[in-house]
Amino acid sequence: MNFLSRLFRSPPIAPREPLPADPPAPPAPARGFWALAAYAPLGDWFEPGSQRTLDVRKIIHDARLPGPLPGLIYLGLRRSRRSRRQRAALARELIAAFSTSLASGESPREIAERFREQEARGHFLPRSKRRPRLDLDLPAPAAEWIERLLARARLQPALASQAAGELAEHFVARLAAGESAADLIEQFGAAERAARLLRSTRLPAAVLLPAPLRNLLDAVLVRARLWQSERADIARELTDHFDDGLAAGRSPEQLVVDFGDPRQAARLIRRAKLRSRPLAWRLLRHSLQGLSAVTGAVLLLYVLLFVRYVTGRPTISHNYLADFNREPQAVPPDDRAWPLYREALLMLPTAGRPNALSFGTSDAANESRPSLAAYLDEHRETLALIRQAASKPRFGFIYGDPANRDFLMKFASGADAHGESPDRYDRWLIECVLPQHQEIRFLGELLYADARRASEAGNGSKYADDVLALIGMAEHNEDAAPFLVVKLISSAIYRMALHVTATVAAERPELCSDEQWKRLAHAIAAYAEGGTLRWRLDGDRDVLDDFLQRTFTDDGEGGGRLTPEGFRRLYRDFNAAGPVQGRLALAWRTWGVELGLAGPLMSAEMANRKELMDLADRLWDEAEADYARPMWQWQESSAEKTMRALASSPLERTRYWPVLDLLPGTASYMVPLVAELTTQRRDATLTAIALELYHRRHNAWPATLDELAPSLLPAVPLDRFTGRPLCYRIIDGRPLVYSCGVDGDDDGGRPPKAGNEVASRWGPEAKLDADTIASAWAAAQDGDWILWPSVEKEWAE
Amino acid sequence: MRVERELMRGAGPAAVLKLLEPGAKYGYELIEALADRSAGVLAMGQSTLYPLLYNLEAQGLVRAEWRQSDAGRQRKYYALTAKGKRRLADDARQWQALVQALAGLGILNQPSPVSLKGAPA
Repeated sequence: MNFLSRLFRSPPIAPREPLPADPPAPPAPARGFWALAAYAPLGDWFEPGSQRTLDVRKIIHDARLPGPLPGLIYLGLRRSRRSRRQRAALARELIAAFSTSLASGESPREIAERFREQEARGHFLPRSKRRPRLDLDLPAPAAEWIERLLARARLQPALASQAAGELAEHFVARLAAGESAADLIEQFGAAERAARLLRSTRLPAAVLLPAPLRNLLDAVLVRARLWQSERADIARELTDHFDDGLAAGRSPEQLVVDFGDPRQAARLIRRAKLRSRPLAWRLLRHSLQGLSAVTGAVLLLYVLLFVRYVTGRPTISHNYLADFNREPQAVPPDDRAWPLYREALLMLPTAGRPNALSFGTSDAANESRPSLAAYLDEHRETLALIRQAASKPRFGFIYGDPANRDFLMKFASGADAHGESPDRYDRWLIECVLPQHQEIRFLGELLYADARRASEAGNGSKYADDVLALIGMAEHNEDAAPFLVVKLISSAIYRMALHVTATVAAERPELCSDEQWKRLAHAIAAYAEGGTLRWRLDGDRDVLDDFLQRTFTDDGEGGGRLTPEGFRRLYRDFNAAGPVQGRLALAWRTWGVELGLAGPLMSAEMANRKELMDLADRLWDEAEADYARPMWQWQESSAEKTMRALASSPLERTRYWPVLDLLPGTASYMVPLVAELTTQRRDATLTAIALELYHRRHNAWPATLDELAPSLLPAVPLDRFTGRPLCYRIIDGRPLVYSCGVDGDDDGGRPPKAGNEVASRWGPEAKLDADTIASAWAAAQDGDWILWPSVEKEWAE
Repeated sequence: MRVERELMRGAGPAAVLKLLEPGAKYGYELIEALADRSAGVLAMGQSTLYPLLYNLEAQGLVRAEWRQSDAGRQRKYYALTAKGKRRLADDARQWQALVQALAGLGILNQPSPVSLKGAPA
């Protein structure tokens, strides 16, 4: 009997129900993070702008095909029995083919009909998933049993046909021997159970064993978990063994008993067969086992870290705003300047503010002079109020004062900028805005412009009042919370006073009487208690303290670990630098930060609270000690070297991020440099006043600055760059006061070609002569820093 | 009489190697021969024999080969390799020493090892 020749008939594939002629439109593409996660290939996560390239709904939607085609593609893909990646590729192929057909003039309906027909014939199924159509010449129950068996076994077509042939031959032989189809089926048992063995062994003879032996064989092979070829070999050997036993007259039950424990057999067979596998496979297996063990250990460690992480809660025990309020609250209300500043600021519109610093500084700025003058006239009463405020002894700003509500609404976009009450603990100090200082700077600029205007009008008294008010305003900022930004605003207002004083001393010295000049000189000298200016930034230390108390746990001994709240704040809100950069940065941001998976690791990696505070204190103290010396003795601070070294290592940068992010501004040479340069400008301005007074007495300029001391100056001021007396020359009958600048040599009062200010830009790199760039920069700084008379252009910059 | 599993673990491979010494055999033959020639003492079920054969094969002591039997059926025959022969000789010496030692202790009555039925002495 040529059974195989009858097995396959056209069509070779069992046809399926065709797709509907008018299918519904595909659902809309999924959106959101999880859709991105589910439909973006893993490789896309490491590239910016990930696309959901595996989302067939999106692919079909973007193609915008007409008629029933989108719905047909979607339904066809759904039953194509392909992987997600294969479905996406098939969708693109179909869209391209349909587009070509449409372009050639074929109608969507014609294309749809052809597609439905092909799809129903299994055209889009993988070859391995196509079911052969059987036509067995057997009684119906037997044929159905074999068909069910083969359908469940899901063999390759060639194997299926071979198995069908062997099974059918066996059935035919048994039927010819007089057995009924029903008896045979009862003997072989459920086809579904036998299918597993057939799929596992590809051996029809095993399926034909009596049910007890077949089940035993199935149990052994399933438990042994071997390769297909190994299973087939064992199945064949054991089947032969059972056949020998049956032929020897033993019953199936007896053979099962003789076989022994199938679980033990499976275990021993597996062990023996694994030993027989190739060396490379065994090495790979051991490697994978090792890798699995390591992965398991890592996962276990991660779980432990996760539990430790999620149970961390910050303990907020200190209200720093309340600390800041303690001193101003003790100031009598009449001595507080802030209420008057606040009133002045509320009187001024926020829109249409003039550039008050431009008054008389350049030709371009002169064009705005009329409008600026009109603004000053319009707000004459406000200026008087500002002068009155500046004359008060203390600043007196109280955080959380309800009286500030209108001010904060106007300048800080909300009355809650400092918390409704100073007793509240939910206000992060680092987020505490400081409009009271930023806005006062504008008031200072108005005073500056008014002083310039008074000087041009020959009103010495008003001019002096404005300058004294500027100094008072600078003192108020000096008196306020010790933050870097507040000190810089104080310094800026103070420099406005210095500049307008130096300018008038050079251009209109006759404006002020001797007494007025002396009064101004004393006020200038008294700013921030005189001497070499330096700022203690305790407020910024408190910012770090407050930050750590809100982001770390507290173990009661100063230590503590990063909490989930701290991780969220650091990496999501403050966008802290992660331990990875480059191509992995996107994966870090997506998985590590947005999903928070990196939280436990960062909590373990980041230094504890005490270590961070100790490091911050050490760096601050080192920077403070290094830069407490006069500028001519400066070298780069060890604190800055330490910070640079820590920042250059990804792990160290992660470990000490809060310190490295919050500290550099306050522990840098930039802060004492601003103080030194302000000191130098102050000394030059006092020298200018002394020169003017000397000139009035002697009707001539002194030959050296030594002649000014001690009658007009307590001592000759020092050049902050050299430690020698400030440079002084008379050029064309006019005095010139200057510093040697960064290069340290006297160039005869000649500023650098790149600009006067360049001579004052000290930096650690200026000490590194061996460095090419530093050498080039040093060449650019060749020249002196002219202090008096002022260089107008410099101020405009 | 059944032998304890630990004893069987040592004796089983030697017995199978010995049975294969005259020529190749397939599994069913081996089981029958073990039960028959050791008077049931070394009888083992398929759950023990086949893993044992696979182990010997993995160690290179026996070689398996599918070939047609006298009855015309395909069977998997196992035959001793050269390495298997050396191992058998080595095992035989060790068993001999063990039996003599046990006899010296009075555990065994007879000083010579039990020879398998039909096997050369």
